[in-house]
Amino acid sequence: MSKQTNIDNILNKADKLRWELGDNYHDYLTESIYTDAAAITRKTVQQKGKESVFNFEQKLDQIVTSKKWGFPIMLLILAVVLWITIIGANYPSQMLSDLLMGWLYPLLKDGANALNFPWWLSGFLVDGVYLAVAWVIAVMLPPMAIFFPLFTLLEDFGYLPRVAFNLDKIFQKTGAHGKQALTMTMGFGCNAAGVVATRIIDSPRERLIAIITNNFSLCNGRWPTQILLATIFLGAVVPNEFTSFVATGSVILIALIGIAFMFGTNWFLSRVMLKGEVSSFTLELPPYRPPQFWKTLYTSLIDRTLIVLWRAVMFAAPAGAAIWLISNINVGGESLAFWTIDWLDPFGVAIGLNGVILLAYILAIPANEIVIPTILMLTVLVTKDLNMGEGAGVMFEGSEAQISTILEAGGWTLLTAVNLMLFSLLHNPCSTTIYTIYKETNSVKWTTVAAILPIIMGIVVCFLVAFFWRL
Amino acid sequence: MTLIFNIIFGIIAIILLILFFKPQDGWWYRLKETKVSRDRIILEDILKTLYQSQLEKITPNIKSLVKKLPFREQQTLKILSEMEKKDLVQVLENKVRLSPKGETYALRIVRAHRLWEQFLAEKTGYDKKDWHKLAEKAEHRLTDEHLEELSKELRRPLFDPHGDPIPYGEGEMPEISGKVLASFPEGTIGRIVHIQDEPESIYQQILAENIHIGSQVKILKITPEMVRFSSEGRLHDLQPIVADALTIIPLEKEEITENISRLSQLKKKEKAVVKGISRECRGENRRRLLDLGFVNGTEIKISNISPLGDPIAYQVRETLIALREDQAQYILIQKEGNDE
Repeated sequence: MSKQTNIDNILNKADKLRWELGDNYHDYLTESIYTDAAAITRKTVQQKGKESVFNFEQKLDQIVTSKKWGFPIMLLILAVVLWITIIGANYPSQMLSDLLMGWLYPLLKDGANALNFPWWLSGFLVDGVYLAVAWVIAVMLPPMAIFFPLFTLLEDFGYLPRVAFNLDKIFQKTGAHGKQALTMTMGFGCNAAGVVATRIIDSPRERLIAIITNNFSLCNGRWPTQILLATIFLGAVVPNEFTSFVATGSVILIALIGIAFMFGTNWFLSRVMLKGEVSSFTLELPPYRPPQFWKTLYTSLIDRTLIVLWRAVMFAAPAGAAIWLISNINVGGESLAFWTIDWLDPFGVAIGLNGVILLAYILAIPANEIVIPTILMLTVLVTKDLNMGEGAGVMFEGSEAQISTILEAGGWTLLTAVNLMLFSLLHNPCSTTIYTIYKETNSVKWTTVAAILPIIMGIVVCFLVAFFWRL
Repeated sequence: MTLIFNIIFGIIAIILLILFFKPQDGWWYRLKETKVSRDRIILEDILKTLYQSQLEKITPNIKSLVKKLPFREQQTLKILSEMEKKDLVQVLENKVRLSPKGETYALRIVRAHRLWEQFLAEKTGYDKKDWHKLAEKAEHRLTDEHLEELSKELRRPLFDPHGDPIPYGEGEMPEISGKVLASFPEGTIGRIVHIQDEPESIYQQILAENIHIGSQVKILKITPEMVRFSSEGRLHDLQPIVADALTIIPLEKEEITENISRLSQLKKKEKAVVKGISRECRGENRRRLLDLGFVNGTEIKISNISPLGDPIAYQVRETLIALREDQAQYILIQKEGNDE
């Protein structure tokens, strides 16, 4: 027999035998490896003294996942964390604002004058770039520096996986993963950080869903906007003693609407757009352990806060420049901003907003924090009220009464405020988040979906609200 | 105001036009493509139907063949006569048969269909009930290179997820054993090796009963009205026509595992030992469960239940792992205290 026929024979035989191996040959192989490994560990690895710790953990688990206490404990912890963040962030925010805008800003301005900078250069650099960066740092840094460590401590302690465990069924119904409850909560702090946090979800489809819908969590850049509008406009329609109640209630309502949109979008994505993507659920409940306080503080500040802040600053600088330029470049006797607002206004009014708001959202893509200051500056620019504001291209904020006067002069109504609250919830993520989404998904397609989907919803919702409001 | 709206509408119209006429994946192009290959779909569906008839040892006449297919009569007849010219079918005294060339072609389609179902089961998240429809479309589209690549990627599978053999090479077919469930006497213990996924109405009932391929069954009672059997700790009463969708092989005594049930049936405070993972659990999900330690011999019990009832956290080798009910049903266990 020749060598070739010999080989052919062997191959043929192998082919025949392959059929006899059966279909789950690979599974048997894997299974037996695991079984052997397990048998060896059982024989050779000894453990001692874990019993009592284990009992304590079990008791704790019984309580935090019980029907009676599971949800109350969860809500209480969430409320406390949010409360500490919102209240606690005010003080450092104020200090940073005094430092960067009250002290350093005039100093820089004077310095530029002393060095004989032409007005446009000092305006561009100090009023534009510096002010935007300072603003973002002052508003963004403190809440993140408080929220992330608290969150990380809970995570480190082992409580957060229990939250995912408690809530999983609700998320499962919309085709998502229980851990999305955590990334969603993280999104209340910052969407970019929420998107990074989706790494804890190991199933590709559910992770993508969590990334795309994170924007529906009202981030801390948007809370102040909501609170301001709710206080000035919604609070004003009821007697004084109910103002704060109505304002708080409506902000919470907006956050809940955001959660509703998140679930709806989850459902849509998993049933329509992501149908067929592999999905596999795993949720391990790790043992509780005392949180490593300092280590947690350090890593959450470095890994989460500073990275996000750095990205935000990188995007805020050019935005500040753009805001200043568009307000100061004049064409035919009016600024570019004026013309753009004029052009955007009909569409803005049609969806119950106005041209100023739309332009502010286009310019303030880097950070939601600078939306309100930009709106104020542009409103003053358009209404040409020279008694107000700090000059073209210089963002500012004032007391509630001042803001209220400016906005009313700009033609704002209750509808404008309600729709801006909705639009602030439902619009494209800030550029930091968009960039982070691209980094995490590595896909232009999904980044585009994540950016476009919410803004389409926002426009549709605002249009509908305006339509029915005006009936 | 109106000018702005005109501009916006103009832009939308342009975008729609671009989408419509985009080459490769524009809607117009797709429409055209489906029109071109429609003849091919009819041809291939005729081959499949004839192959199926051949398996059932029926030789259909032209009329019954045309009736079986969901296309217009004229079209089917036209394609049929073209097929005769190409020597794919032989028509003799009004009866239609596959030629050897036609049979090879038909087997290629069958291979494409089953490989695609296997692919959907192993590598995607599509639901069982969608596989057949998706494969019906894919089978006309897949080229020989696709099939080769698929087969390699799937590690040359022999059977599709329903237990049907996948033809290979020049149309060779792995042997299948087993007979329909009701052909065995009461008291037989066997294993489900094949679940028929057509017609859809019957397959839906199988899915509703949550019967898994590869599971062990014990036939309890057979009457003309219904077939009763138990499988993985659950009792099933099926109409005979539904039960006929199940093919089983009888098991030798040493192959039988007593008292098998599903992890989803474990109650609080009960202890059990994992016996394996159902064949119905595939791909990524299967590997995950194995990774987590759900392997033969592992002791398991419920640690806590979510306030909403699902998922449930199980204690497996000193770790707590939460599984959803639709995962727990794939893990086969033997409850303690019920041994042999």
